[in-house]
Amino acid sequence: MRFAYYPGCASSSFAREHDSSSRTVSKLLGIDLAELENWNCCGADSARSIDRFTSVVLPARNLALSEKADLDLLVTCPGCYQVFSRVHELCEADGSLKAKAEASLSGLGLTYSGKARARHLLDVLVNDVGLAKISQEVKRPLTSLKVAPYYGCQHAGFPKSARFDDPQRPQTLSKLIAAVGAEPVAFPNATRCCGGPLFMTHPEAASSMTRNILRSASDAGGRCIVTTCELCHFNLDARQSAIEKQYGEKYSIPIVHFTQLLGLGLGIHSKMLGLDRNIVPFNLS
Amino acid sequence: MAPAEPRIGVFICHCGGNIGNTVDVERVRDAAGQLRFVKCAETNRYLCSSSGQDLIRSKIQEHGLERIVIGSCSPRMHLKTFRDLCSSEGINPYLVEMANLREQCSWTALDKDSATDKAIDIIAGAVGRATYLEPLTPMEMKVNSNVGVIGGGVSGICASLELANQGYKVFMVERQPSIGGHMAQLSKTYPTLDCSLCILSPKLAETKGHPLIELMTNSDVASIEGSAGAYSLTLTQRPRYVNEKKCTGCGECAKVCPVEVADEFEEGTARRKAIYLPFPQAVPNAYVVDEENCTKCWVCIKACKHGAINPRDQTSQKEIEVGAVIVATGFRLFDPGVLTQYGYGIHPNIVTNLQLERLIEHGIYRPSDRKTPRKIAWVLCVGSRDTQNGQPYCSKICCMAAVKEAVLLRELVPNLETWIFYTDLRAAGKGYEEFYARAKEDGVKFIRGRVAEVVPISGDEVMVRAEDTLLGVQLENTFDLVVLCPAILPEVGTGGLAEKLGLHIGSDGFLLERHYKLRPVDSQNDGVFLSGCCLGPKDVRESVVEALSAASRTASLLGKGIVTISPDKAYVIADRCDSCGECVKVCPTRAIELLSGGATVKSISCVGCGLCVPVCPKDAIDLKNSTESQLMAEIEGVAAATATKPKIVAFAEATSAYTACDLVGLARQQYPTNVRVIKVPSVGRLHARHLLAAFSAGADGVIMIEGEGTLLGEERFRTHVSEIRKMLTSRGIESLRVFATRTTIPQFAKLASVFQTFTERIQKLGALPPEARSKIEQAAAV
Amino acid sequence: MSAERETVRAAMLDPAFFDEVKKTPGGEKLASCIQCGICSGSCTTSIAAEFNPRQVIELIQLGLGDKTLSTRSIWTCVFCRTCTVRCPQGIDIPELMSSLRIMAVRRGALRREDRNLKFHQAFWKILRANGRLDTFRLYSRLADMQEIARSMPLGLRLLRKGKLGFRAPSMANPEQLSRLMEIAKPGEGGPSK
Repeated sequence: MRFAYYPGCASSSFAREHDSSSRTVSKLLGIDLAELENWNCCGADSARSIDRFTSVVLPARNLALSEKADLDLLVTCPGCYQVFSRVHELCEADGSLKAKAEASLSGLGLTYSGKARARHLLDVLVNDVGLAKISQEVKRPLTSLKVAPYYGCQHAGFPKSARFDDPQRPQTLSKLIAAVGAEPVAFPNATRCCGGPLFMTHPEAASSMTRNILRSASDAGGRCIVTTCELCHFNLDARQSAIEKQYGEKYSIPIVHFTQLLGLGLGIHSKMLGLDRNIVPFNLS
Repeated sequence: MAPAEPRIGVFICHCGGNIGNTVDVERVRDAAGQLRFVKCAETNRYLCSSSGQDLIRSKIQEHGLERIVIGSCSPRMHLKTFRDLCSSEGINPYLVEMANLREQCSWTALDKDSATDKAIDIIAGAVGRATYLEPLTPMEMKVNSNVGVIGGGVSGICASLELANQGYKVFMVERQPSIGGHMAQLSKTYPTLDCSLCILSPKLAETKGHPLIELMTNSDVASIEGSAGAYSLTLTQRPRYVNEKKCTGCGECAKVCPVEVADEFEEGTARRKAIYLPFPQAVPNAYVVDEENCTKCWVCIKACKHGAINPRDQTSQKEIEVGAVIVATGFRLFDPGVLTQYGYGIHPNIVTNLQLERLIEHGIYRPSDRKTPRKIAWVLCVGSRDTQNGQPYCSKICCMAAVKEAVLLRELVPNLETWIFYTDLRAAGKGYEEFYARAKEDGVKFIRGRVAEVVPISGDEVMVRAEDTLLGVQLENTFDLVVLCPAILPEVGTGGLAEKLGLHIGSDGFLLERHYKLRPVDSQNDGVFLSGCCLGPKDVRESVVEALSAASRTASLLGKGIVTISPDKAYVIADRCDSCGECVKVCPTRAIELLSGGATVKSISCVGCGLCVPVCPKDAIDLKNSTESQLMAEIEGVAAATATKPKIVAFAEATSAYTACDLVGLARQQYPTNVRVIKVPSVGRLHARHLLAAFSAGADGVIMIEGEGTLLGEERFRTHVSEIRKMLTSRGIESLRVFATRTTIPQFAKLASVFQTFTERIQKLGALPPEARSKIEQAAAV
Repeated sequence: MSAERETVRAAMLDPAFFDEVKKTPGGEKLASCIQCGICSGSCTTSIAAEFNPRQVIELIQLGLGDKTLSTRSIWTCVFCRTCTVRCPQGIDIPELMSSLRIMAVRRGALRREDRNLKFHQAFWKILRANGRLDTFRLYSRLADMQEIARSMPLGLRLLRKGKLGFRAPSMANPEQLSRLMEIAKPGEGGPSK
């Protein structure tokens, strides 16, 4: 299987390790990634706060590039995934909006027909590659490692056409955790916001939300937290000690990208997975 | 066909000034006197008064009148009065025509001249129609006085007992192996906290022992034939495998049965065997074999000391003849598993309210470890008031059910915490608000906020997250039992039954009553009555009220031993019929049959809508009291009498649309006097030729108004109107000159503005050019 | 200084504001809101806001335009869509929030130093220049000296770990974006209107 790979801004900067681990595990499992030529930022929350059409046509450029390569777009960030899904939903519902997007992109020599769809790597791993194949490839089962699956807030709200899991009680991460031999430890706040997007504008609220996740996961007995989102990862990892200080609590709970966890199970060396970049250290022993 | 020389008398009423102050009744009388076949024309201050009636009597005798036209208030007021007057004078009551000069003329007009012209048109139309009226006699048919009741819940039971106690033989058909329905599953009822089964059991016993009630359980309706007064129902009875008479209910069979499945009566909170007694008070009080799960090992036969088990039992069919049917098939619950955020099915301590009722009956325990719960939460509106993922309507009873359960549980369990999360707390019945107040005093907590999610946090506990909207904060609280209150839906199979019985389903999926306010338990089928939750969510009390109403309606129908059928029925002109069957296809009550000699109308099933008349290519079917001659003559009269320009003819369907027109006048709302209304049984009665006749005779615009929810369904209305439009366009009538709409009675104000806007449109278009009119006449002549 | 809870008076209610919002994306079904609270109950960021989503809709229904457009509460939405997936009337609240933000900016309802405004404008500026976002440049534009000083220790750790680079992520040809923006003409009532 082949995809146009969209790393996203986070994986290109503070979450570089997610990019490297995504590429490594994809290669091993037969997912062929062709990095999208000159992709642009999807616009995240800011494009839609400034202008509606911009927030459609900006991410649509990436879909058009993907369409040019006659491939679907593989993303690793649920935020980007939500943005691309929105483009699809809005264009499907409003023909004139779609026409305008097409017209604008054709000015760049690109076609946007809605043919290329965004896929999240977690979805592709669990549903396309399949748990059977993954289990087969597991060289180093992470037995008795208690992993708390944290999806982040976007999963509960994917529109129907983009859903790959139950929005209220997602299972994909737990399945992946189990497939590598580890023990999923469900905790109640797995789809609550960690505060990441609000950290620069609403720091107090964001801290409270970050703490909520860390507390919740460790109370449930999680030895580490696995994430699907680069921003969640950064927020829970890099700001963990600040949160500990603020609230006078200790978690020492390492945060692991889902690709890193999978990679470990597949027997890939932790350095290759960028685990040394974690702020909160993750040791398997 | 008109008699050789009809002798018509026209009487115009001042109506004490209601008409007389706006319409120059004397001028109308004079104009009427000029019309063909009018032998006398009079005015009077109050025609309906005894002096007014005396005037009519004297004129009848003086001029030998044999049909009369009354120009006064709406026929909805006094048609019966004047029909009775005629009967007493030896004139057939169907030879009276009323012209609506008040609600549809004087009360809607300001200008005297134009109002008078309009009145003259209306009278001319009435006289035209009166010319072709025929004496008619209502038919009488002997009825079968048996009754079929489908559904053995509290509603069906009460209806059956009510009728049986009046001497009617009742066949009760129940799908389950026992009667009792959902009421038998409840612990207590609100607001009195009566024990549900305690108040139901005597009725179950009475039903069982009643000599006039024949109970068929494990049965369904396979088909129905016939019409009001004479139905033939075919029932299918599934095998019980147990002889009801021999079974003593000892239970030895169940002890040895190796199969265990979820118990439906217990809503899955307990298990039962494949041979089982539905519940201790079941009627019939006999065991039954669950065919689907039974492995046919028949170990039970040896255990039974009464030889009651019969492995060779088979499905049987039974035919019953009844005069009326009552449908009381009840409800089922929405599957809360659809709303995955509530966690139904993934944690044992998340249950439905019906399941809670069963848990209460067994001493209240939490399913996870069977211990007594300490904190219970109710989640209201699960699937109700939800246009996206559930049903848009309110299920009515869940609020009170939750309050009742909470109050009850606080009595049973000391220090129990009870939290009810609601959207709006509905407590509209007698004693309900007071009960709610008592609940609060008893310490039941109420949080206003629809629950966002229910999240399991341990083997016994779940967390409920909701916004306390009154405070504006998110609330998270843990409970060891969460009760979901799912929406009420019609019972499985309601749609199929409706099709068999010719019943309509409303947009909410429940059976549709004939008229929500005035005929709340009647269906579209004259001999079928509806009651209970098959009509919509309601509590025990309302189900009983409707049962008693339905029983009363049934007795009304059957009580005299005969049914009187109004003569406004379709009839076939046999020598013209070529058996093409178009009329059969279009009839909404399946009243027309194609026999060897041609089409025949079953008068008892015909409702006089007239949909069959325009579809006949041979003009072989007509409608009594709205015949082609009568309609054409009325159209001619209304369109041609005066030279009002522009002239607009509005055809209004007799029940809702015509009544709505009356209400406009009742509310004294004005609309241009250019509009004259002609009553038709339905817009479906109209053919393009009627509109062409109107245009040809002087109309410049035509409106068609059908009531909402009539037998002329939405689709057929649309196709019918578009066919008429096509034909008119082909005859050179611009489509802008024709307007069609539907209305409900409460929307009468909208009608007034429709009349206003349409008149303005026609004024802009201008009168229909004389060439166009003559073109129609020429085409008609061909 | 205003009181804790000012009375809302008739003169403050502007039905035209409600009508206007009803015509914007996300505002279509606002009149159907039954204030059930499932949105606010679900909102994953509700602790961050003065007014939760349900209350924002109430503000709009009352026609309190100034309050609606000046509150920080319309800037705390992270567009997770949990609310709209559960709303029994199908109101698209995240879309509404975007529309309100755009309205607020266009009407100048925010002060120039408003943190939210600065954040999104800085984001957009960096994006236009490089085609991709550089979080740290964004942070440096937003944070004051004290904040930067406080986050130095973390910054150093990130630098050591290679999470923080001096080279910002960038497209090879960011002028493609400029071209796209020119063609698309946003903000001038561009092709989307």
